[in-house]
Order: sequence, then structure tokens, then C-alpha cells
Amino acid sequence: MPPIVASSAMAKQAEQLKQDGNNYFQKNRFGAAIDAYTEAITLCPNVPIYWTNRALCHRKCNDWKRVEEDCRRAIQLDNSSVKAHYMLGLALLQKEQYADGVRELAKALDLGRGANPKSYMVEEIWQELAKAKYLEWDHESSRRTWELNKLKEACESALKEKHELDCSQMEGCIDDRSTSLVKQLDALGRVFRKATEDDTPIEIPNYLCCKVTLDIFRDPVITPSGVTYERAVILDHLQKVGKFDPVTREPLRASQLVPNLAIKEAVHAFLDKHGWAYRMD
Amino acid sequence: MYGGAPSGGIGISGGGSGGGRTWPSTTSVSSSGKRIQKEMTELSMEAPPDCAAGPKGDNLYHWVATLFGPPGTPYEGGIFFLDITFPSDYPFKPPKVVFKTRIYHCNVDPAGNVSLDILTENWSPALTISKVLLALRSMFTNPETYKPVVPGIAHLYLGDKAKHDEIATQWTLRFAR
Repeated sequence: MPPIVASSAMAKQAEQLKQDGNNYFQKNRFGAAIDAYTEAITLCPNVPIYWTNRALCHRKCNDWKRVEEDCRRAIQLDNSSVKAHYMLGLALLQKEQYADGVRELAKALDLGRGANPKSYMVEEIWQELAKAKYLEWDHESSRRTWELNKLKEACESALKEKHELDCSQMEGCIDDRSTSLVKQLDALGRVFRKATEDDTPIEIPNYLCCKVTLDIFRDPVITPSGVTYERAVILDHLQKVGKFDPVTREPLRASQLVPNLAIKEAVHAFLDKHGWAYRMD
Repeated sequence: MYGGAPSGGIGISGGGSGGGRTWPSTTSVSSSGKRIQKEMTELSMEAPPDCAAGPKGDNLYHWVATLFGPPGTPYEGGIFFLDITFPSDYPFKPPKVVFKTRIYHCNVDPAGNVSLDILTENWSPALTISKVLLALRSMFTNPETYKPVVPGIAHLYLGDKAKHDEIATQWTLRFAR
């Protein structure tokens, strides 16, 4: 059956072209790499990796429009491509399509974790996501703070005006009235401080932080001892340090680790409310 | 697609540990650096009693710590300086702790090296400098006489504690004041 023979020969050639592209890429020759991947795509347009590899080259060249195009094609072919969702997310953030970009990054993160939780890429995606989320919070919270400050000033001056009006209409007891004004202004200050609490960075609660990274959880897993750790880090520990739970020192194997969904949700809820916690230093 | 047989997308080799890492890393600070920074922040907010620790200069991996000799011990009134060096794969490897101030103690050798099990075979990445400082503090009160680096001092401690304490007090007065 000639067509199949032809197509298998083409597939072989395309694979070779991809290899060439990868070699060019390693040498930072992105233009040549793009040409090689383009040829591979012409031969076999249905292989998602050719598209994502070319997208990575475009990314290197800061050609975000093409990154987006190639990633969208790759996703059509394979909706579970971590790299395609990741780079599409970055491209959308570049276009300031904030919500869509964040959604793609979040999708890449979920897919990446499921497939290869130890990959440094998961951490890299998380960092990009955190950066975007932090910027959003920064922007929104400045607006909120500004609005609240305006409102507070207006309330204060209204209280003071009312106080002056009261004083001019009534004789005596000015002292009492002044004390009550001070008290009212105090209470007002408290109310507004309360209103800005969520936007005020504090310490992230310990129970939302891994005992080894001391940082907020990205992918929490729980051990049979009941201690929760960052997945990538506890796996590293089991490999590099020893087969024990770092806190309790009970014996521990990687297969005993179970996702801690409750903590994961708690982290989500905390981050939604306190965007500053996305800050990475 | 990670499973996809010889797939070989650029850069990402299945295990992630392979050489040619071509994905640009956005991390400017390594994970060990981040962890050390976190410990620094926590220590500055609440240090264990009678201890202080922090980077010596610009290098995050070199710290200096001070311990005050606890009351009721022959080290009372002394101020002990320590050098702390973090390995690049901290916290998977323990920090190295060295006494810079001379001290008469069966768990500290003449070069200032500390023999503390949690700093060697019993290290755990869940331990922090804060916990190490606490352990050093309790070493002042309860020397580990069963695993001494200076057996002579341990013998004296077990055989003639008054004499041991006298020498330790003299050393504290001479070197740690």
C-alpha cells in the first residue's frame, strides 16, 4: 500500500528535521531551527511537538503572535500539551489578555503536575502564574486603597463639619462634643483599617506552608504521619536524604504520598483573598 | 505528552534531571537561597531566646550566630560566636556550624567543630537554623557525654563535675567575655 509507505517515510524525514531543529536550538540558532521545524510541519502537520518546538523558538525571538498561533495549533492536536498551554498563557499575558493568560497557565500547571510532578517546569509555570497574579493584585489593591482613602477623607470631613455645625448651634458642653468627635474619628479609622486588612501583607499562616520550603504550598501531599509537604521537595528529600518523614522521622516511601486536597483548597482560598501572598522573593 | 515515547520535545527530558536544560529558567534565586531567605525573615521576627543569627555580609550562605551562655551553667555570662555555612543543596544537606569563640565543652573540638547528631547523620530538611540554635543551647546545659569529640572533657564531666565546671567557667571568662 504505497500511501502508507510514503507517509512513514515522510514521518521519518520529519523526525530527522525535528532533530536538526533541536540541534540548531541548542546552539541558539533559532532562525535555522524555525526553518527545520517548519519543514517538519509541512511534511507531518499533525505532530503537536513540531508546533510547540517552533513556538519555543518564536518565544526566544519574542515573536509572541507566532507563539500564540503555533500553540493554538498544538492544542487543537493535543489538548493535554503542557508546553502549548504554558506558552499560550505567556503569549496572552504579553497581549495583556490577563484572565485568558492566567487560565492557560493554570491549565498547564494542572496538566504538568499530573504528568510529571517533579519536573522543574511545574515550578517554572507556577512562578509565571504567581507573577501574573501578583501584578493583578498590585494593580487592583492600589485602586482599592485609593478609593478607600478618598472615602475615608470624605467621611472625616463630614464628621468634622457636623461637629462644627453642632457647636455653633448649641451653647456649652463643647468639651463633651469634642471628645465624642475624637471617638468617632477613632472608630472610623478602625473601620477603614479593617477594610484594608485583606490587602495588607502579613505572614502567611504556617499551616499553609511546607515545613521544608517554608513557602506556601503549590502541590501539597500528606504522609502517613499526617504531615504535609510540597510534592517535588519531599520527593527530592526521599531521593537525596533518606526514606523517612522529615518531621516525624517515620519511615516513608514515595508511594505513600497522597495529595492533600483540603490544604490545596485552603491555599487557593487564601491566595484569592490575599493576592500579595503570590509575591516571590 | 510527557509519556509520548521518543517525543523529545526540546529541553524537557522525562526525568527533568537530564543535562541540556533549554527552558529558560525564570528563577533568579535558587531554592536553597529562597529557603535561607525565609529563615532569615523568620529569625528576624522571632529568634530563639538568647540567640541571634544572620548573614555575615552580602553572601546569603555565610552566617554568623551568637549564643549567650545560659544562666546556671559554667558558660553563663559568655558570648559565643559561631560561623554557619550553608551548602548549595541546603536543606537537603545540613549547615556547617563552627564555634569561633573557644569553649571548654566535650562536644566541641579544639578547631570549634561541633559534634551534634542533627548536624550530621540525624539531619532532616525540616530542621531550621532556629532549631539548630536551640539544640546548641541545650548542649550547653546537657553535654552529650556518650558521644564526645573531646573524651577527656567528657570523662572529667562524668567523674568530677565540679572540676569540669571550674575549668569551663575559667575558659568562659578568658575567651568569651
